[in-house]
Order: sequence, then structure tokens, then C-alpha cells
Amino acid sequence: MTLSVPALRARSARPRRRRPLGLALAAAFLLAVAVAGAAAPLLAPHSPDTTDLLGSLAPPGTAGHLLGTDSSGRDVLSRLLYGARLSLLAPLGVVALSTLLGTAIGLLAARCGGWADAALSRAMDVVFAFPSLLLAMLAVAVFGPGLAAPVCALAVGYTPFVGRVVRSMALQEGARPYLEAYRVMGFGEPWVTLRHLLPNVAPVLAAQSALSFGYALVDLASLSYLGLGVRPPAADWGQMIAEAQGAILQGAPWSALVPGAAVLLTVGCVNAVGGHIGAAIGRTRKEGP
Amino acid sequence: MARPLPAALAAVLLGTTALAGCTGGGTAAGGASAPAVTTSVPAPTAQVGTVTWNSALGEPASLDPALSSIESASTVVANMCEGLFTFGPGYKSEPALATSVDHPDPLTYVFHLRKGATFWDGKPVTPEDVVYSVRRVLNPALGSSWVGWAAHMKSIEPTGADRVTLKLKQPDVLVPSFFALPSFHVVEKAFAEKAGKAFGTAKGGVMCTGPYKFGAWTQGQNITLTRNDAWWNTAVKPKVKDLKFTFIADPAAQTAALASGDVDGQFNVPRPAHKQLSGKGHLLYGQSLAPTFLSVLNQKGALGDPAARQALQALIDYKGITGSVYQGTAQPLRALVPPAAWGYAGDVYKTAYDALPEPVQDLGKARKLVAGSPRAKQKIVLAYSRAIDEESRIAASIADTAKQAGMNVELKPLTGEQFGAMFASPAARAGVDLFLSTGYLDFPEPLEYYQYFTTGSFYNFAGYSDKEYDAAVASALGTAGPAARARLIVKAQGIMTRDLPTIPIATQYVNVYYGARLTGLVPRQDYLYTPWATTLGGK
Repeated sequence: MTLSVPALRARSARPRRRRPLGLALAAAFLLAVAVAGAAAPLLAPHSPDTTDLLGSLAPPGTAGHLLGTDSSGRDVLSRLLYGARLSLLAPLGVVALSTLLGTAIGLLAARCGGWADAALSRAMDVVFAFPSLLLAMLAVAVFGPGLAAPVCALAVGYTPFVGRVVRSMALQEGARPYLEAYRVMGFGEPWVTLRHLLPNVAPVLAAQSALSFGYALVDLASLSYLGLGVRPPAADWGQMIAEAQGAILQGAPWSALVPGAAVLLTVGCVNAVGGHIGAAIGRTRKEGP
Repeated sequence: MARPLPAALAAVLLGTTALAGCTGGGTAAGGASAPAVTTSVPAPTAQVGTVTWNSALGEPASLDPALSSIESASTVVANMCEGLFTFGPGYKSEPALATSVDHPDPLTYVFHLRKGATFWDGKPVTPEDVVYSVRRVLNPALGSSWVGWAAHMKSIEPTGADRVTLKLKQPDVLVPSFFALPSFHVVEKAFAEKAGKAFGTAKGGVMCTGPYKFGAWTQGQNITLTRNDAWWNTAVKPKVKDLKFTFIADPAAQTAALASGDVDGQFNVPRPAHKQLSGKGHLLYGQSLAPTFLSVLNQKGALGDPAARQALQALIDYKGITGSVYQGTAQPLRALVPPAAWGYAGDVYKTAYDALPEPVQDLGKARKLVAGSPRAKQKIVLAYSRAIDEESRIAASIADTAKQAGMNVELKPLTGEQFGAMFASPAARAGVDLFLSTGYLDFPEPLEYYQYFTTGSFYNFAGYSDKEYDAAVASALGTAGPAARARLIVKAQGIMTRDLPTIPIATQYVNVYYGARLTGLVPRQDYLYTPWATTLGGK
């Protein structure tokens, strides 16, 4: 029996998975938001803080105001673009800090074991018991409004999520023979952990971080909505929604809908990308190297 | 994570705003024409069982008249407790628990109490009750803010079966106006002493003489008052049997409750809701004694330089504030005290007021002033209540135009508690240079406000001091003749307008909304101290 070349290729090659269109769109949207935020001074038609009280609540499409104006007459598009900076950077800060802390704690717990593992795991359980948003509100109450306190507090709140994943992954990886081989070769424990174990944990961390980013964005927008985030007149999506409440009563919902849609789409896209990363990792681990 | 998806949370947020948007009244506009001021409405003809009224500023902490200095309490207490006199239309003093007062010399007032007036429990009002009530307000342990009138008081004593005598140390023309305010509200001595610290609370209740009796107070939900059919004032027949006060503080929820009819009425309807509510029931406007203004709190910083204060005054967008923020329900102010508060000698006040410069935005002038003043470029922290949408917008506008003029104004939004603390605690005012707020005069006497800015006054937070100003105010306090007093007051007003320890912005109308089935209530600032519910009833 002979097999044709194409048949051989089909048998030997792994099934190819096409990247879904939705994922590509989500990634493109996130990229566009990031670029728009970074280039806000170039793209925004007006200063985000310039008020024009007599020109307030102009509907979308008004000359010079593509997305209309808010109740203080500020250009909604300009505030949306500038708002992307804080609205994306702050959750990025939460993710970076929580990933750093969670990875360190998770690796320490897994590699040290014994009483250190028990102590760190219980500490993570304690933090886990506090809702992150409540922790952030407490931080604002103690240190005052602004982004620094809630970012740090949310980072602490998110640390156990990362720590648990890293600990679990590190325990699994630690049982594999390649790590023992490095030790036999005389490499030190810190070097083995950071150089060889951590890279194998990193993909899962990336998926976890993407999900955390979405949660952090919503949490920070909620804090700004409650007046506990950035101080006016700084543009921030959550604050834009809060400031638009009166406009909604006046039949001018766009100044709330625009930033609301920005939050929804950004979080949805982050989730889509994060979910894809997680699924890809799952498949890779199932199929083996 | 065992949490709802963030995208779902964001969707709920977006969905809420979208649904709320559907309730609006169409495309909004930036400016608005001035609404008509209502001075009379048809009298009620029908009895009403229960009227549900919302307190826009939430639940009061106490119904003790001595502690009713904030609107949430005053709106309720005004229907239950009475003073020796009351305000009629136009703030004319009318008899209440006293039928008359003799003023034999500038330092003595002799009150003749009404015979037959009783508390809700049927016990008669005695001179001892009156004296106890007035002295109670003066007790520092109670912490009443109605103590201010008594700076020149010498004594108050029962001097007969239906007579009380008040003596002053020096003449004070403001004192008689307080006879109609909670400073002279009468509570039952025996009841208050028995209730102790519980007096005025949900548990302890109050015992007064007014047209509505304290019924029940379910904390967090409502306060119910019931008509006092044994009220001494038989000339007035209240048409509403029960008054139920709710405490909805969120503007969107207030609007929904008023529009649906769940709540019958409310004072201080949020402006964004006016358009939506005006077609449903009666949304009425009245002249108010309320100025919105900036107070300089720190004279050591940028605002210690008069040029910086003048620049601030020049950069305010008066047209935008009155036309857009207040939607035509306000007028720009040339002086701190609004024209509606000229209770006498109107021609004297008007001549002086008209001579003051018209408040107009002049960014060019502001830039010049800032350019010539190095101090004006220093950081200015502007505090305001973030719960008041209008003032948040005014603050944002000031910060923006200040930036355009070369000044550096940093905004500090305050919570309700922080805002309240600004008036009571120097620590709360620390680090704040400028304070945006809306106050109101208790009666149409400009001196009531201008006296607060004399040297050493409790409310003179910035420590403003001008000997000429102090002398003019002191003389006015001892001048009984209206025209002469007005001339002294406008002199003080001129000094204040020159020095700008406060920067007046606008005076807004008082407003009230009530459902289509009701009538009778004319919006007046004195609703805080007069039994306004007695005018309300069915059509």
C-alpha cells in the first residue's frame, strides 16, 4: 500500500487551528485603544479639560465635537482618548504589581515547602477573604483619593490569585526530572527556579494577568465612579460615567454611554484575548511538547 | 476566580446608563431661558389623606428644633415646632406663641404669650417652657448653632403668668428676627427633661405645639407627622392629614420617584430633572436668599494677593453658570447678599448694588492681573461638595478658566461629611485655599451675612480684618432706622466687594415640585422655618 504525499502530510502534521476572527478583532481593538491613549495629545481635537458651559450636552455629530460634549461642555472624544491613558495604565499597574508579588510568593511557597509554604498559603487565604474593591476603598479612606492607593490595594488583593496559580504550577513542574537534572549538574536552586522553572510557568501567568487586567479595569472604573479614584478634572472613563448622571436625566446619555461602551468593549476584548491564551496553553499542555 | 466576569459587570454598568438614558426628555441644550417666579397658586379645596414628601438631602440626624440648622431637619421641624412669632408672606413678622411683644427700651423685649396654646399632649404653654427652650439653645453642651443671636443677650426670665422678658446688654437690630426662628422655638420642658439626650431622636421624639404632631420615625425609611387638630391657629385649616417624609438622596432616584408619583413632592429638585418633571406636575420657582460664592480660606497663599482674588472674580463664567449650570434659574451676583434679601430700604440697597461692577467673564483682565502677580501663580486648592452636581460643574469651569489665565487651581471634591466639617473644624479646612458653597440668609436682612466677616467672627474663616468694615457693621447692628442702617450696610458691602474675602457668583431660585393632584404651596425660602404643609392640599 502506498500513501500519497498529501496524505502523509495530513497524517504527520498536527491539525492547524485558524485564529478566530473575533480574537483578531479583539486584539486589534486593544491595540487601537492603547495607541489612541498614547497618542491622545495628537489625536484629541480639544484639551480634555476645556469647558464651555454654554455649549454643554451638544449631541454627537455637532461641529467640532464628534462624540458630543458633556455637562461642562467638554469634548467627549478628547476626554475618552485622554481617559484611555489612566483607564489602561492603572490596571496595568495593578497587574504588574500583583504578578510580581504573586509570582514571588508562589515560587517561594512551592520551592521552600514546609512551614514557609504553610505560612504563605494561609496569608494568601487571609487576603483572599477580603473583596479587592473593599480593600481599595479602605486604602482610599486611609490615604485619600487618587490612583496610587487603590492601585496598590488592588494589587495586594489580586496577589493571592496569582500566587495560588504560580504555587500550583511550580509544584507540578518541580516534580519533573529536568529540574533534578539541573541540580545534579550543580546549578543552584535560585538559578534553576528563575532560569528554568519560571519560564514554564510564564504562559499560565500571562493568561491569569490578562483576566486580572479586566477585573482591575472594572474595579478602578467603579472606584472612579464612586468618586474615590482620580481627582477631577482628570479624564477617566469611570469618572466620565459618574459625571454624566445628570446628563442622563436631561436626555443626553451619550456622555455616559461613550465611556461605558469603552469600558465594556475593552474588558470584553481583554477577556477574549486572555481566554484564548489560556485555551492555547491548555491545548499545549494536553498535547505535550 | 469565582467572580462574575468583568465584562458582565461592565455590561451591567453600560446597560444601566443606556436604560436611564431612555427616560430622558430628548435632546438637551446648553442654555435655558429664565423660568417665571411663582408668587401665588390656587388655594387647596380638597382634603388629602397622606402626602409623601422627599427630603432631598437625606435623613435628618435629629428633629430637635435646637439642632435643626440643616435643611433635612428644618423642612420637617418647621411643620411641628413654633417660635414666639412666625414669618408671614414677605417675611412679615406675625404672632405665633406670643401675641405681641413690647419694646419699652432698646434693651428690653416683653413677650405676651398666647393664652390657650397647648402642646400636642394637651398641656398649656407656660413662660417656664419658653424660658427653658431659649436657655436650652444657649447651653454649649447641646451644640446648637442657633446660639448666634444671643451675643448681646443679658437675661431671659418669666415675668408673669403669660409674660417673658428678654434683656440685652446692647442694642441689636437682628434679635427680633430670631423670634420666628428655632432660636425661640418652644418645646415642653417636662417632656424634654424626661427624654434627655433622646429628645429629637427616633426613640425620644419631640413635644411641640405646631400644626403637625410627631407620629413615627422608622430610621432609614421615613418620618410620619399627623395633623394636630387642636392647633391654636384655628384660622388655618390644614388639608393634609398625614405627612410622610422619605429620604431619597440620589438625584436619579428622586426624579424617578417624583415622576412615578411614589413621592408627591420635594424642595430642591435636581436641575437635570426639571425638564422631565415640568410636564407632570407643578414645578415652581421662587426668589431665594441663597448666594453661591467662593470663600477665601487662606490669605497666606496665592489668594493673599488682591490681584489673585480679582483675577479669580474676572475668570468666572457667569453666563455659563446661570444659563447652563442653573438653566436660567439663577442670576449673577454683584455682592454677597442677593437682592431678594433687601428686606427694607430697597432703594438704598439698589442704588449701591447697581453701582457695583456687573459680573462678567474677562479672561484678558484675569491674565493681566496674573501676569503682574507672582503669587497668583501659586497652587490654589478649591474645595467643593461633589454631591452637588451644579457646584462640581462650576468648580471644573473655574479650574479650566484659571488655567487659561495662568493660575493653578487644584480641585478637591468633598464628601458630605467632609463638606459639613468645613464649617466646624479648622483641621478640615487645612490645606484648602478656596471654598465653593451655597448658603442662605434666614431672613431678609443683609446684616445677618455681613456680620460674619467682622474681625474674630466664628464664620470669618480666613481671618479677614478691616477696621472700617468692622465699624460699619457694629454701627449697623445698633441702628434701628432702616434707611440709616442700610446706608451703613452698603458701606460694609462696598468694602467687602473691594477686598473680596468672598467672591459672589450667583443667586439661584428656590424650587419645589409637587404632583398634579396637589396645590396651594408657593415656593419661598422661608419653608425652612414656617409650617409650609398647612398651605398644601388637594384640588
